[in-house]
Amino acid sequence: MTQRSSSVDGVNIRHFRPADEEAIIALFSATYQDYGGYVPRDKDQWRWSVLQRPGVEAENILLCVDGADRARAYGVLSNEGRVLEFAVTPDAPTHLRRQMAAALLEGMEAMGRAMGLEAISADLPRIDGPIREAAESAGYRMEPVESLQLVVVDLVALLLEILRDRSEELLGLGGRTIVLEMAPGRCRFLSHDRVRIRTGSPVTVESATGREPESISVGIDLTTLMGVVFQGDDPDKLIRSGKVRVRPEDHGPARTLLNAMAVSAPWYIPHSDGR
Amino acid sequence: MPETNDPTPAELELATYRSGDEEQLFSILAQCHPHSWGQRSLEHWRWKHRRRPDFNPEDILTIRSHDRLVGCFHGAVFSLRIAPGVTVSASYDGDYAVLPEARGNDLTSRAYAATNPELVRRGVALRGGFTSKELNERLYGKKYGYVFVPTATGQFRKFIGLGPLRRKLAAVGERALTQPRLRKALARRPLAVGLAIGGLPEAVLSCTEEAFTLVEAPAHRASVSVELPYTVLATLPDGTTHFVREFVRALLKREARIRGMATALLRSVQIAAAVLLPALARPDENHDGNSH
Repeated sequence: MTQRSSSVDGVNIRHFRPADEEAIIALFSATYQDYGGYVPRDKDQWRWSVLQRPGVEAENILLCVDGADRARAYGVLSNEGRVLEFAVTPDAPTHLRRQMAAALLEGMEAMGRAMGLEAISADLPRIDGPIREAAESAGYRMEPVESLQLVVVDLVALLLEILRDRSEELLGLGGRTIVLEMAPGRCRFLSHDRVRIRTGSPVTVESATGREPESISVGIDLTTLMGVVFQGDDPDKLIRSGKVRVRPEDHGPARTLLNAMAVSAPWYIPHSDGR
Repeated sequence: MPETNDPTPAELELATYRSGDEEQLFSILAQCHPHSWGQRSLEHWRWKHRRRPDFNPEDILTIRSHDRLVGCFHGAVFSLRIAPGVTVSASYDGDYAVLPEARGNDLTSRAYAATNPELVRRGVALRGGFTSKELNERLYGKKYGYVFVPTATGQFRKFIGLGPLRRKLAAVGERALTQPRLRKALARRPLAVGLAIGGLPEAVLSCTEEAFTLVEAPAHRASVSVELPYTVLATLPDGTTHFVREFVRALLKREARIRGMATALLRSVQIAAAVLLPALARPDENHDGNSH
């Protein structure tokens, strides 16, 4: 395999070797695990999404490695000119991250030219300053991209996972019972008409059937709830505008619960996942 | 009403994928999506769906009319992190295709109705797919309640071959050559401009009365040649004014160069004279003709 030279101090660029798999998977996870859209991956999943993909050869994968041959960054270019994955370790200083990103892009361009490609297209995290700067300095232009849209299939399963993670935020509520009285909104499919949430330790979320004495009732439609969960809509405004109805009219616990449901991470999805 | 052989809604049966459906599924996708699936092979379908780790036959919903496949919906279920520490099971949907004769039967709604309870049974919390803002507003958001996640994904693109520039210049030439005076000027003396753009192969743009053609060749072969960094060329989509400003800036910083400047100026003046002066001298074409 060709050993590429690199202008990055202390870091070399080389092609992929089979022994790099674990390091690459770990590097991807370290870089993107706090983004929404991250798909936890194992060797089988990574091999399928990258190595076994038609139009990808092991030679299409470039790595930046340090003096101890540890992977610090890598990129995968498909034969169609798509950058399928691109990760630069978050542990390096900003200037080194920018240099490694630039060196990888340059290396992939050289591969692309050798493959006779006319263009390279890369789905990159645009909020990652060093990566974005490296791409823009090299003349890459950002174009509109198709985005991920979501709809809820199982409301109880979704809220259970979110609220388990947010149980500390709900501690102040003590052991309250809050029932979501759901309407479909624009969603055609509503898995649960009524969802009972018990704060406390542990938080429980389940389908509600009978009457719930001593509970707080929150009337909300699924479209509005998805706005709160995924799009940062302000529960307080929604309550004041009447889009969310709370009975009895002690809004505090309902507001706390809805605020805890919001997931605010930015989303990044590499081309290798899902497409 | 003319009689058709199109299936009625009652004749369309939704069913889970069965082994043996592969070729028909691929054929439907290739017919309905000629620019993507039409360029791929059955092997690509097998890799994407059948060989995916954790593939479940229930991930593919087929639409049959009298045992013949007329449509399909594909999904892929996996763990999806929606925030640090929060991972749920989700289905990414895609590769929808319905043959024209079976369309208009509200099959998307029927497919959701058929698959949602199954996804709930499998512990799936969310379903999603990639789409444009326009399609979300017109269909998915409006009719099915999909919302976009706040994406940080940007699609960055760079040309590394001459093809896109060649096509762009050919289109520019087609428009420009609708002017008879320019055609005449180029017929008298065709123009050749060498282009040396950073990162792209050197080329010569040949402007004749017939067409603007970009061919790969050493830029210095032309009497006029332009050398510029790719980053200047990349500003073209921002508009001509922006491009010219960046080009002049690059010239002043000596990042860009024009060789044969005198020739270039002379040819510019000749073309301007050929195209503009007669236009200035020409009477106003919108004149109503009554003032004479």
